[in-house]
Amino acid sequence: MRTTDADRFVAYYTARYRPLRRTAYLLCGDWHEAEDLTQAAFVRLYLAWGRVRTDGAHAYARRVLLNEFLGGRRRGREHPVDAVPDRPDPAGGSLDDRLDLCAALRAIPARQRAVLVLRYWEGLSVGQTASLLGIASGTVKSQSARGLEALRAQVPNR
Amino acid sequence: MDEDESRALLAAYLPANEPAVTPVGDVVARARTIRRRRRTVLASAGSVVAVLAATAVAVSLTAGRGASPAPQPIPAASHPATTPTSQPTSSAPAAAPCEQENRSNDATARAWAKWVLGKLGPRPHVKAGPVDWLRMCEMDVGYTVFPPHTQNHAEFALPVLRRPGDAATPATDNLTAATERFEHLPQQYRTPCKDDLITEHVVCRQRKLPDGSMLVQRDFYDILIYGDPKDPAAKRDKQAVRDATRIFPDGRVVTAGLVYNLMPTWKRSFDRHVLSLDELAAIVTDPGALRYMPHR
Repeated sequence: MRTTDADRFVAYYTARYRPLRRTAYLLCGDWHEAEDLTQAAFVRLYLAWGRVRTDGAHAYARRVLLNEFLGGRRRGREHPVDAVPDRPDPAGGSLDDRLDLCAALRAIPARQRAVLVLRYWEGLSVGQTASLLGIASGTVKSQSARGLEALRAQVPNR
Repeated sequence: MDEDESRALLAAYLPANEPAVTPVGDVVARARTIRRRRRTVLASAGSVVAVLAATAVAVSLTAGRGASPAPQPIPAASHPATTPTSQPTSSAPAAAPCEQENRSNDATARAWAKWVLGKLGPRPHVKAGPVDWLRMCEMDVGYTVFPPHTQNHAEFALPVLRRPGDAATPATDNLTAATERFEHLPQQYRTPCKDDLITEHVVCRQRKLPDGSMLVQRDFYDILIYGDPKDPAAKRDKQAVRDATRIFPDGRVVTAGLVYNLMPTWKRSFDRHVLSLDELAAIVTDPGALRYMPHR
């Protein structure tokens, strides 16, 4: 990687690491796994940096993140635990609230969660989400509706 | 519920106490380690030796089914590095042009992994990793050119040696063992002890074996460069790599190399490697290794 490319990568990393990790967190509901997913995405991005245009970097990183997340589920890498691994947010409500939130997030099937995160957190269109996940637009719409319904039902106070 | 509300609903799932951002150097170091392993796998040049050749940790075993290669002189370490890498060193007929890279979980590659595992002895907690047969076309990695070659490649993770007082650590010493067939020897196998942009030797011993092959044993620093390797101002880091390589003049190579998986804490330590240079040499010089040379 040339110096200018390296500078671009560092700048991109600095700007995009946190947002991408938040996306990862919403997908998996655990900071440790989110960290792993995000690092994996940036490692792949670094390796492909010469081929990826700056304006395509986020799409590339997001796709890697998603593939890692869904691939990990297929490979059975997800290990649900009884206790929530992250400390409760002192400013974000009680431990019970946080448990509710995490449980609600985890209760939604991984692919449905991915639809929700891509559509509403990443702001992708129905078509973009469908293309990224390799599913039909109609499926995106139905999964979005069901996912939101599930979230609202499980966290009625939110 | 509109899209803003939906986003707000998702945002409510994000705890406010977000962990610190991982330093970019850690991620870059991981990526470079993977790139080196790919080179090893791909290019494999002396795999560990080469991959990490750059980082070089590879020991190539010989080729064909126990047949000894015709003894031919290998240039000494002082051989000029400008020797064209495209010049064949073997009198064998030229192979067909490499048109497609390939990879498979070949039976011989699996047998090679099993054989190497047997050579590690009754060690606890050895974890077998990826096993592959690979075909790679010529690859220019910037500092050198890897000629077309095939490789049987096996990886293992072994717990690192601990010193008294060491805290428990997930660190492992990753062993990469490969048998390779190069269309002709890569340049770094002609001058194996020569430092380059990304290799700083601490120990490098080479000696010719009776059959004409050369054994190289090395402890070296693999230099990780964050940026342009030719830019002296680019940030650099090092990690300790240990390998042994047996090099045949006809392009067959057997390599075995160790590199820690945990960075940066262990990167500069040679004394926690689980195998000595002589133990690695015993693996690559075992005549049995030649039974597992990759097919073309």
